[in-house]
Amino acid sequence: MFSKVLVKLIDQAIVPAITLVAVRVVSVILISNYFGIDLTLGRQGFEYTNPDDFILVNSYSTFFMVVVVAVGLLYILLKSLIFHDSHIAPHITANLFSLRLSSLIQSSYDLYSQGAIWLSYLYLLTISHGIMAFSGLVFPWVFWVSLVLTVCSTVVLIFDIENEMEIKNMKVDQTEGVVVRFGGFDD
Amino acid sequence: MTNHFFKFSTNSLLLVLLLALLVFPITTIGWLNVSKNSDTNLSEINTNYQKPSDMQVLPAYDERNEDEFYNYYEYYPEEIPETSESTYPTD
Repeated sequence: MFSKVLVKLIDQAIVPAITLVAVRVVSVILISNYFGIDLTLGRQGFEYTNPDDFILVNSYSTFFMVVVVAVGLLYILLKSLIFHDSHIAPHITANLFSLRLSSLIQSSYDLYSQGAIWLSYLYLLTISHGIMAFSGLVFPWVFWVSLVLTVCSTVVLIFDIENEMEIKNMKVDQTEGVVVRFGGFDD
Repeated sequence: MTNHFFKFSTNSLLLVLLLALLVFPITTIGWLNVSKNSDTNLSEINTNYQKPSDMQVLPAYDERNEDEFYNYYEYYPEEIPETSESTYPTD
């Protein structure tokens, strides 16, 4: 009845959503403490008396959000490149089972649904950083860093998907059309 | 027909839920604000500040531009640069 793909994507989106909200709140508090900036919690959220302080905290906080998303995406890409069940090396499989880390070995369906969600977060953050940098609400370097991370992650994910498609095609070619005839030929 | 409608509506709800999950962490960017009591408006802050080329540079004391130094600070004594040793001319 339900679309399995949508349910899977929602399932995969919960963890990064909670992580990002937690990173935002914790980073705002820690950065304010580090720079000795006064912070008050009002009805509209965290309030600063000085706009310079706001821009400083906002820039570093959103930068940490991008870094966390990039690290999560790097973990997924690492699993996709090394621990993918379609092309994992036998000795790595044996080592993972001996270390009881067999959960790292995942299928294309799991890996690419995770990758799509984390990459979507990175794209949304980059777009919002672009708008904020244009409006002067964050330092411009935050936008450029997130843009570079987004482009690099996208390129690596596309290469991995292409590699995976080649592996799938090779497997199809190997299993295709072998006919064994028993008995004599007619001609 | 009812079955198709039910499937369509549930999938639409799931899609909305997914979009909400994707957008919600981004909305936390709006949780930071500047207090209304602040003197400066956010739109007045320029993060790309660059020194204008035609900005007047206050003359520093140097024997080579001694005349210029004396002439300037004669009219603006409150802008004497603070150094360990006073460069203000003393008679």
